[in-house]
Amino acid sequence: MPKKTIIPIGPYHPLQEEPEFFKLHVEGEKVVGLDIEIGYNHRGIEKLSESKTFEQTVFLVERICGICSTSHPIACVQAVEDAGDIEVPERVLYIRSVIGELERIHSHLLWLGLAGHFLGFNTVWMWVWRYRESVLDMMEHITGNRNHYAMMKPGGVRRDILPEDIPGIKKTLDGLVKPLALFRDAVIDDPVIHARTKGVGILTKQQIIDYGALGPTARASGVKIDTRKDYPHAAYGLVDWKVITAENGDVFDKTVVRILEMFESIKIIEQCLDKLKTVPGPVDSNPKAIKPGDGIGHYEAPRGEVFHYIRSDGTNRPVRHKVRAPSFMNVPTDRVAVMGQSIADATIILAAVDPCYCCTERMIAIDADTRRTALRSPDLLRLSQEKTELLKRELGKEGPKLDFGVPS
Amino acid sequence: MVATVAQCVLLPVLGIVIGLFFLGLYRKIMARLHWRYGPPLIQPVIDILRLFFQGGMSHGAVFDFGLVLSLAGAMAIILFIPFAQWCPLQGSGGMLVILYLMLLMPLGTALSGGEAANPNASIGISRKLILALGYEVPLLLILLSVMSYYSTISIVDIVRGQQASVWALFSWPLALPGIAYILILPAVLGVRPFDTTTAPQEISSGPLVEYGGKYLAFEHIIHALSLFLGISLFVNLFLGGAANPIVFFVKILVVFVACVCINAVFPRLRIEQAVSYLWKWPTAIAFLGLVVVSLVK
Repeated sequence: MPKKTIIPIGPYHPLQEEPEFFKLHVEGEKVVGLDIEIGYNHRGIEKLSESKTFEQTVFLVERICGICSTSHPIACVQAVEDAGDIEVPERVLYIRSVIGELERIHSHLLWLGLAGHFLGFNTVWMWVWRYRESVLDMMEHITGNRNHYAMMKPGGVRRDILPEDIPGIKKTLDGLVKPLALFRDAVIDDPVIHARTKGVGILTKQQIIDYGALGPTARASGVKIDTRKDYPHAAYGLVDWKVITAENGDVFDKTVVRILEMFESIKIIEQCLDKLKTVPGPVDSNPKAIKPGDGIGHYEAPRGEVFHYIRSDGTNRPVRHKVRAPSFMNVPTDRVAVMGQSIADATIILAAVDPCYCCTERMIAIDADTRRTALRSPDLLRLSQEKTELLKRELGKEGPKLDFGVPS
Repeated sequence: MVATVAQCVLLPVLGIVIGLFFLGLYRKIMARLHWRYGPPLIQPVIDILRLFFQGGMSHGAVFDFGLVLSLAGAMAIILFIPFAQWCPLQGSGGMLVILYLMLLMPLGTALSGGEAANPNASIGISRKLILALGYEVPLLLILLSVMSYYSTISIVDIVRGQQASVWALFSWPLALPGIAYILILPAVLGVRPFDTTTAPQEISSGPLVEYGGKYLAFEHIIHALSLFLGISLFVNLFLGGAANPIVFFVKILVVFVACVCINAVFPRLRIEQAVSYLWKWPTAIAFLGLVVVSLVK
């Protein structure tokens, strides 16, 4: 029997741009096991959110992820609006969809470029990212920022899309169609790309359902789930578009699904822009208070469904804010997808779910004997206070008194 | 005698200079194809000078020895491959010596990288040896056809034979091995789609993973030399060599730029896909070429 070796991918590795740790157990070139360790990026966003006002919370969740920096805010404001029963003007819905879909295009282009890079196809990487620039420039023109757009607020959006900007946006989108078609044809026709991606990292429909995978990962395996269709929000129920699916669940299908989704995104944006010419109205309903209650918000981020839960007690801060990002569901599917594949394919398979670790990071410690959660928030608070006391003693400094008491 | 000694000293230096120029050109051309500006042409020289002044870690005597063996092998081959009219050791064995010495480079890298005991390096080395197994079958068939067509093992005579008539690539029976050689040239040089050995995204640059400082600088020099040697051999065998150094330089430059363009338009193949490609078309064409050559002769 061949000797088992461990190939570490991470915590810092040229393969992926974020800290994560995949332990590939290999026999020769064949992958026989995978351990996934994440948690290098944990920032305690949910807890931080409880100390922010509802308006500040939106800026905070925008910083969960640099790529989905409007998906989290849209889901978050929808959760607040749901909790507070806030009506939003119709114009706001179209603007939210425009920003969300522009983000999807830039995110899918980013992934497409990286997928090329992982296959050693750096020309595709650079070309795709060059076309992505025009999307980012458009974002800067509309929102003032290339990333972290700061557009969403409970009850509306912060900036209107001005009528004089619409022709320019449409022109840039039209300019994108040709390069996108080029990449679509290149992927669908190139025999070497076929050789590297077809039949690689297959996820069956049943595996997708078992793991609860989301977004393009699920749609490439024939599972037709898309929050934009299933729970219409923003303007997705008001415009004409279709959910893209594929059947085989391999890396090739995931690529094709993402490329075709960009065409759908362009279709949605153009319809929304046409509507913006006729739908008048304020872009903010200026809610004064959020009444007590629970609210949920979904948004179909480029990687899958983003879910936010917010509980309000009638003050200006959430008492509980729960976030679930799509990579949290998608990354575990790697364990079945890489099994039996070669190391060369493992890299592209790990990347094919478009993992986003900074969205995902959660920490949970399980006691191995009792199988119960070992570290709950009171324990963490206690550990933190003990550490501060220790530091204070070591440094011989008084410092602020930190005994807030342990909440039960 | 003095001229021979001077050539023995100067040709390896010339090889390193041209190899480093190729590495710089490679980065520049790739950058322009990527719509980037790219680093200055002398960037590899700057990198190597910097690396020589940095501390590096050795992993033992075999690690050092492998590196030296690789470098020595590369420098020795230069003395047997004609650079235009210069070929200081032309009387000593010709093609057969070149074939032997060509083994030293991968062998030295394998010894040295293997000593580092890094799994990424081991996988890279095993990929390199499998790839070499893939391209050496057609390569041997090709060399056999050329040698039997010109009835000589001396590479200088092969060049002379071409200069007397036409380039081997465009002469009838040798066109087939020539085509086969073009098909395997990217694999011999280790450029995409055959750069599985040093794939950074898969195995962290494979055998290079444990090198740092001056050791890495030597690896870069060996890489530069191997590019120069692989292309020089092709130019001498199939593009007629050259009577003066400038023409020779232009020829290897053209072949190199063509290889960089191929490098830019392909993703990386898996190792088993690479071998199954190499053993299919190039081997079939090379074998057919050998049969035709032996019938014609």
